[in-house]
Parts: sequence; structure tokens; C-alpha cells
Amino acid sequence: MASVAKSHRAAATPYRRTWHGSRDALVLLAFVLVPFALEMFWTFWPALNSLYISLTRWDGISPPEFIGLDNYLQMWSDSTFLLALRNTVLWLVLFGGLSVLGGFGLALLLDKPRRGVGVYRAIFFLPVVFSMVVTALVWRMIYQPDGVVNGLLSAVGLDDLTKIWLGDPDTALYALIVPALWRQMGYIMVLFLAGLKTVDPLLHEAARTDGAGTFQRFRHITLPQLRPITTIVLAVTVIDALRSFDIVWALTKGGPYHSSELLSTYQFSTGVLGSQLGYGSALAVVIFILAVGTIIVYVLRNLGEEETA
Amino acid sequence: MSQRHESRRDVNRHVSRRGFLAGFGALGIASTLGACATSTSPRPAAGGASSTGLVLKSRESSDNARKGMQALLDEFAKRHPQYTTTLNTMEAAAFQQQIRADLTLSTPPDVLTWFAGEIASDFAQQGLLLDVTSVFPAQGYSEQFAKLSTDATGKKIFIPTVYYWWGVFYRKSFFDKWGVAEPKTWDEFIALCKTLQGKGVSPLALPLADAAWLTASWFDYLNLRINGADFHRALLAGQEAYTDARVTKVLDTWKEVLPYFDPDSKGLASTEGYAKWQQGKDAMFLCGPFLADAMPADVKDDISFFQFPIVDPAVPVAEEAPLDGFIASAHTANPEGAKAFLGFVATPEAQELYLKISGNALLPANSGAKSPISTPLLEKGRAMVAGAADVTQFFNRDTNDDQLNALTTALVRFIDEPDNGAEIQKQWQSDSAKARGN
Repeated sequence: MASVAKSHRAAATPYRRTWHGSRDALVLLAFVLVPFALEMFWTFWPALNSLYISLTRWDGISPPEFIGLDNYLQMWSDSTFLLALRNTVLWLVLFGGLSVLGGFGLALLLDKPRRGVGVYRAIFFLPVVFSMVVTALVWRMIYQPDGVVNGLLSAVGLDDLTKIWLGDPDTALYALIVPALWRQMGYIMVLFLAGLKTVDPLLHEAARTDGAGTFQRFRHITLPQLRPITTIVLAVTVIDALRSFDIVWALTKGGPYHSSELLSTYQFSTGVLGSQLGYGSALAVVIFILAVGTIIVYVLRNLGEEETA
Repeated sequence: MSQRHESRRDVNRHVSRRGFLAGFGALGIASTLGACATSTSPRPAAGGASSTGLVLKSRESSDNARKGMQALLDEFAKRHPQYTTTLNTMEAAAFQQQIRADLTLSTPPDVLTWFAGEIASDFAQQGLLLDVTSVFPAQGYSEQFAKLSTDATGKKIFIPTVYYWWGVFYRKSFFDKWGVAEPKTWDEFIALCKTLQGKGVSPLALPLADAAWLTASWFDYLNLRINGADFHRALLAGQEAYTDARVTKVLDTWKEVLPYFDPDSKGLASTEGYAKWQQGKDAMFLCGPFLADAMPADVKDDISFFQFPIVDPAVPVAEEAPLDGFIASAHTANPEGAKAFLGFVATPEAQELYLKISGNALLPANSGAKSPISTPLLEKGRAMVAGAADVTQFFNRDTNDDQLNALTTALVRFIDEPDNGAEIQKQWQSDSAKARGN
């Protein structure tokens, strides 16, 4: 309809047509450029700026002093950075690995329709609904010196094992991973439940007719069919692991003496709370590279596999 | 009336979508060109007409303190009706994070709440603070407070209004029940701790779960008592190293009382620590009077404190007396108004007014002012600070938060590994130097 009207007018006044066309193009261009400009200003410009700041020594007031890659070189002799890096990798492996395994296990258990399965699903999903700060409050009480964990241990006669879980450098990081897992597993479970729904029951039917056992069907039908959802789960897990901050900050702030420090909390305490904006920005750049790097490697590998498949 | 209404609608109609988009685009481009995150260029000289608005940015976010600030502004506006005042309150942590940006803005808040110490001197050195020498009262401030308000070039850049103190707080009724008395010296203090522990009471509170910074109070006081205020300042300024034998001595002395701290310290949040102290499960708490502020009314009268015990009688006694007050931005569009306000808050009447409305357990900095709600606790604190040979602010006021991070890392680790002092001191010195950027 619109094109008819346009061509009709075009025949009558060719000059107006070009003018009108360019006006539409302008509006379209504006629709692209304005959000682009805003995105540039609010996202890319600050990101580029922090890249520049990471090459300086700057306290936020006096003029920044350009020092090249010094901040990045300094990291390798900074024992706190190395500890935070180690903890972040440990976090990625434990939090990421266990939440995927646990979430997948829960999804398999709760996939089949049976009495009360909805209630169980709801229970496991519930922690996802709480804000991380609320979660932290609950777990702070659980971990308190005379809290639930120590209370249970004493009740069964294991007084020797009672600890100040969040105040002991040997246990703090693991004590933080538990509530993070508690939350993440429910989330991963829901993703896998959705995935399991897409598995065609006819395939299982056919395999059963051909005499395939439960494990064979799981290995050769369920797992391959879950491929697309697994990609999403892994991407989500890597991103969530690297940006984990709230639970750590709310419970230990990276302490005691940096034993539960992650790159994200170290970056926050040096660059945001402290006044080492140059070094803090360099840390942010490292986190960015780690996150984007992991995901790019994964996506490329996946694309390659899809092409060969 | 109706005509004006019509024309406004007309205007609305003419703000077309295209105009809106164009305007938005221009905004984006202009800000992209103009903004640079690290630009700290000084503001061009304020153009001619000076403003009559006066914005006070305050970090006192509790309800009563906010009312106190508002009362100050109202009273000021009554005396100087030519200025229109605005109170802008921000939660303390966010305030602290933003003050650097605030002071470098081209249209900064005119006056701000702040505290005496290293950071204020830093601001002054960067030329960010208004010279308020002309309104600093010749009488009323002690020599120490006047010195803390002065920058390196001798200009006054800070107006102190209130201060508090640190001491070892206890509840009188519990001390009576246990039959113990205030100690004066370090040896008496250790003996007291031993007695209390013998009675099944945890002698010392130090809740660290969310307040690791409290360790700084122990370090400050032991260093002041053992090595004196001059060494303390030199150490904090980076002129002495944390590997120094004198710091070792501080840690060794602290080690003597570590067994008397509540063993749950590291798992307790500060409010939980307050509660344990209130219930008498922990007997003593090196703290400021904000501990008393956090107590229910019927407990308040039962609270007392004693001066941190003397370790070496040869060292002149210094006390921590953190000093709060106001600064004015050097870039203010209303320097006359800002100075007038700072001159006003320096007066005893203004300080009494603020304390009366806010009800905080703080002391007025101007010695001409009386505490409107005088309690034995406040008078004891005032007498202790007045009798001190020197005053310091507090670790992170005398330095900054980066240095505080290095300290808490070292001291919390020392609590766990008291035999690993040398290694911890080495790491501390390295963290501290790194935070200083060398």
C-alpha cells in the first residue's frame, strides 16, 4: 500500500521523491546512530577510557601520569593479584563445574512427571529468586561462630571441626562457593529442564524397541540432543563465575587477608574504594580479557564443530 | 491565562520527533567530544556575577544528623537572607567515593562536610580547597585543632566543628559485679584481662567480620603509647618503614593481649560485637563513643571508658581525637557565601545548635561551646583529650583507605599468625609502598 502511494507520487514529482527518500533514510540513520552514539558514550567510551587509565598512575585528582604497561608488569610481582587470580580460576572450576554437574543431575531427577515434582523444582529454584545480598545475610547467620553449621557439628560430637568458617583463611573461599552454588544450581537446573523437554520421546521409544538400556539411551540420545542448551549453560556459567562479586563482598570483602579475594573484589577495593585508579583499571582490563577470551575461544570452537557436524 | 496555556501547547506540538532526535544526537556528540574521564583542568574563572545559592553536601545521613545540618542551614539563612541554601545528603561511603569528583567539578557543591587529616591536606595541596583563613576564629580552637585545620602553606582550609575520642569502653555495673577497676598501666591492663578470663568472661571485644578496620585502633594506640605521636606520623607518611624494629615492638606488645580477645572475633559483625559487649559477654571494647550511641537508652548511663593504658611512661601521652567539620570548594561560584557559612559553623552557637538537634555523643570543637546534652561520659572524653600532649586523627584519617587496607591485611593475619611477625611486616611495607605508588 505504501509503496503504491509512493510510486504514484514518484511519477508525478520525481524531485520530491528523492527528497522524501533521503528524508526516510535520514530518519532511519538517526534510529541507528542515536542509540549507537548513546551506546558509544555510555559503554564504549568509558571502557576505552579505562583502557587509557590503565596505562597511567592516577589518584583521581592530580593529573594522571602516563606509565605505559607498568601497571600490567607490576601485577606479576603483586602477590595479592596472583592469589586473586588463583582464587578466580579455582572459583571458575569449582563453582562452574559443580553448578553444571549439580544442575544437570537435579534436572535429570526432576524431569520425569511424578507426584510433587513441581514442589521440588520450586524448592531448588527458590534461591535464584533471592537477591544475592539476602542470600549473603542468611548464610552469614548459618556460618556464625554459634550458627547452624557449628551447632550441627557440636550436636553430633564433632566439636573439633567447628570453625569460624568465614574468618579462617583455609575455609573462607570454599565457604563462599557453597551459597553461590546453592543459588546457581537451581538456575542451571531450569535451563537443563527446558533442554530435556526438547528431546523427542519418539527417539527414546525407538531405541527402547531396539533394546537400548537406560544408560545407552542417556549416552546416545539425551546427551547429544542437549547440545544447544549446553552451549548456553557453559557461556552463562563462565560469565557468572568471572563476574561473581556480590556474595564475596557481602560476606568477607575478600578477607581475611585476601584469602578469599577474587579479581573482581580486588579490582573494586583498589580502583573504586581506594585511589589507585590506574592499577584498578588495569585489573578491570585483565578481567575483561579473561571473560571475553574464554567466551570467544568457546564460541569459535563451537562454530567449528557445528560446521564439521 | 488561557492564552499562555494555548501557546505552551503550541510549543509542545512543535517539538517534533525529528527535533527531539536531533537534539538527542547533538547531546551524545557534544558529550563525547567534551568528556574525558581524566580531565582535571581547573575551572575557568567564575564569570562575573557570583551566585547567591549555597549548596551544602553532607555525609551525615542519619535522620537526626540530617536534621542538625538542616537546622544549621536554616539558622544561617536567617542571619544571611541574601543566600538560598540547599542541603544535599549522601550516604557516607558513597560520599567518600565521590568527593574527589565533586571537588574537581566545574560547578561543585559550595561547602562539604569532611574531616581533618591527610586527605584534606592532599586536597589543599591540589588547590581544591577555598582559603578560609579570614573566617577562622582567632579564639576558641586549641592549638592542636588549629594546626589540623592548616595546610602546608599556613592557610586555614578546614573548619572543625565536632570531635570524639577513642577509649576502652566498659559497663560500670559489670565492672562492679566482677569487682574490678579501671587499669592505668599496661601491666594492670594485662592483669585485669587475666582476672576477667579467670571469671569466664571474654576480656576484649574486636568484631572483625565486617569491620576489620577496628584493628587500626589497636595499632594506633600501641604505636602512640610505645613510640609516640611523631614516629606514628612519620610512619604513616611513609618516612619510616613498617619493617622498623619499633613496629616489631608494637606487634610484640599486642601479642601479649591477643589471647584475651574474644575467640569468635573474626566471625562477628560489628553489631554482633556491640551486642556481646552490651550483654557483658565481652568485657572491654577499644572504641569511640559511637558505641554508646548504638546502645538502648537504659544502658547509656551505665557506660564508661578508661584511657588506653600507658605502656611507656616516658612517652608523651597522645590521644586519638577524630575531628569533623567543613571544607569549601575552591571552584565555588559563591565564595563569599561559602566563607560566611564556614565562619558561622565555627561559632559556639552553631556547634551547640548542631549537637542539640543531632543528639550525637560528640564534643564541640570550639572550646567556647558547651555540650547541650552534657553527660559524664562526654565530660570524661573532653577532659582526656584536653589533657593530651598531642592528638592524632585515626589511621585512615591520618593516611587514606589504601594504607588502611594494607594495615588490616597485616594485622588480621598477625592475629592468626602471631609468630610470623617479621614476614608480615615485610609484606605490610611492600603493600604500603605499592599503594603509595612507588
